Amino acid sequence: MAPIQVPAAMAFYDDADDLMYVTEKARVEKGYKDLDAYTPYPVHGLEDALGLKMSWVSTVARMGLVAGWGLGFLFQSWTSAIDWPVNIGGKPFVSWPAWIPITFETGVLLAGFCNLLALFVACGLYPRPKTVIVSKRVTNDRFTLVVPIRENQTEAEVVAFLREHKALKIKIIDGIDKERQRVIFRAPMEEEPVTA
Amino acid sequence: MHEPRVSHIDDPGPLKAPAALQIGCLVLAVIGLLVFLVSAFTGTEESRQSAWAGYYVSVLYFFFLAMGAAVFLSFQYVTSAKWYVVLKRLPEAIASFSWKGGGFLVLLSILGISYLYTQWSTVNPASYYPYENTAKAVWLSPGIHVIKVIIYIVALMVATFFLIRASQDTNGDSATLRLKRMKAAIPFLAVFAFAFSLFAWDAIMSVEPKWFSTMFGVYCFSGALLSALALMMLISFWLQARTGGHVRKRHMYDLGTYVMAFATFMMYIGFSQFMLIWYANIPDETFWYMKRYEGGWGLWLVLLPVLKWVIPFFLLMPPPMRTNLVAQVIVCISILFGQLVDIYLLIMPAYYPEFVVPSLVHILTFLGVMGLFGWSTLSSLAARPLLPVGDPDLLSSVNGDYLHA
Repeated sequence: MAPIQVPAAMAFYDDADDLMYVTEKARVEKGYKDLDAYTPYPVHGLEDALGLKMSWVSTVARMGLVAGWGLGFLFQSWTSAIDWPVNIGGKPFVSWPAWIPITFETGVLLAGFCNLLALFVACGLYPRPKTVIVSKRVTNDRFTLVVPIRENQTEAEVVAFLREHKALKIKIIDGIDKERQRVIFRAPMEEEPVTA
Repeated sequence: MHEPRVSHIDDPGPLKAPAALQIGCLVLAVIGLLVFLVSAFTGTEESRQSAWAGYYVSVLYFFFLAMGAAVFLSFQYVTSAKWYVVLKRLPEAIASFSWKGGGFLVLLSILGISYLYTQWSTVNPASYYPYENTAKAVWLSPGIHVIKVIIYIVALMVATFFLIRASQDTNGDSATLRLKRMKAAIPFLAVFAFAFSLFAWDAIMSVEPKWFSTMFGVYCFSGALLSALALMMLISFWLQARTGGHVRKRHMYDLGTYVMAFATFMMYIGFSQFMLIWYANIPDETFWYMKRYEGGWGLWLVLLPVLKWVIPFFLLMPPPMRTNLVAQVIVCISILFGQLVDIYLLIMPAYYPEFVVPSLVHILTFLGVMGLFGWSTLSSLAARPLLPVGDPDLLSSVNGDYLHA
């Protein structure tokens, strides 16, 4: 999830299927690029609808796995055969079956660390990042599609497309701070947000 | 692409296999079993011994497939899963073999006690293993063995029968059916856990009565489940083409992931059993592996983890490969062949210190049991619609509602 691109139009829906449908239309029919979506829970198939490619995080994790295997195995070989060889039960110094569990564990450990660090880098999660709160209900029951408005498009054109596809609410975000968001459309039937 | 929701599923009809195919399976079964019976009850001692050993390998192979499919089905009911509903005719059909022949064939092996359990001192007084007057000698004596095996196999057959009956039942709404299936699946799992493990210890591990491994029951279970998953994966490609796109890519993906996961589980169990014995290096335990390593058996013992884990794991590692026909055919055939090698290695080295190539009688027996297995699977698929159209959870499975619930 890269930082949000501005300016952008955001359309709010209350159903994952609606979001999936409009996302696919926006990408395939209108050719909008760099789409993003915010949902309260992982929606299966949305990554295909958004046209996202496989992220590079798993490649880093896989490299970590192989490195962990290799380092774990070599470390055990080094301690048992070179640094302090001890004859245990007449077995060879490099008796590899005994090292499989630890090799496996070091592989998992390094893969896990690499995965986590790569995720932080990929998502831009560093201390005090600049974030945009698109709507508080996104963590509860709203599904949001974000369409960046690029040079060759006008705001009116994107908003018209989103209105045509039954958005409940459309917001325009001009900048990366809260003051530069404006709601430009709200569907008449939408209920007021439930406040506790 | 976003898959359209469906609100109605047409009945694709049952399997329309030509009757000739089913009859051919039965003919194969009759020929194979006749060849086995003739060579098991006439001829020299050596040929009888060889016939019984080959029979036991074949019967266990297909009985394990049926039990693995039944366990897969009961998992889904116990967890109230919905994803698998489009695929559920496959485990039902495969599991039906356990009472449509498979269980009876295992029971028939009782007649071969004196050939299968040659090392029991109660069967062969000249046996080198001196455990006379111990509790083990009583436990491993023909009279008690017969009673035990009958209890285990009948329990497994009955539990599977009720599981499949509940699975094919479509009277009632979702909640009623879920309760009915829970009531069949939970007792099934309890019965299976005891009966299958005890069967593995008493009837398979005890072909070498001197050897013991507490991992053996779960080792057999993991092989059974893995081979059943591989067979289901293979048939599901056909089902996908046959039922007009209701078996979606994500069903195939989930089943493919199951294959990969349980290949790893199999390897984990097998390695756990091997490594502790190798590490402790106690002659009472290591001889079992040495017997399977020396005398020409070693190549197959080393090939086993390659067939059952290395090929499946690394080939299915990239996600797109799990729905890829070619990759899955390679993986599943490798697993199914590996399972055969596995059972061959469990049974055969107990009688033959030197590697034996399967004889013609072995191959015909195997084909005979396969014929019976094929008949029971085909007849089960031909008896009801290929998609469980009356099942209240079918639409949820096809539309993927379970993903958002």
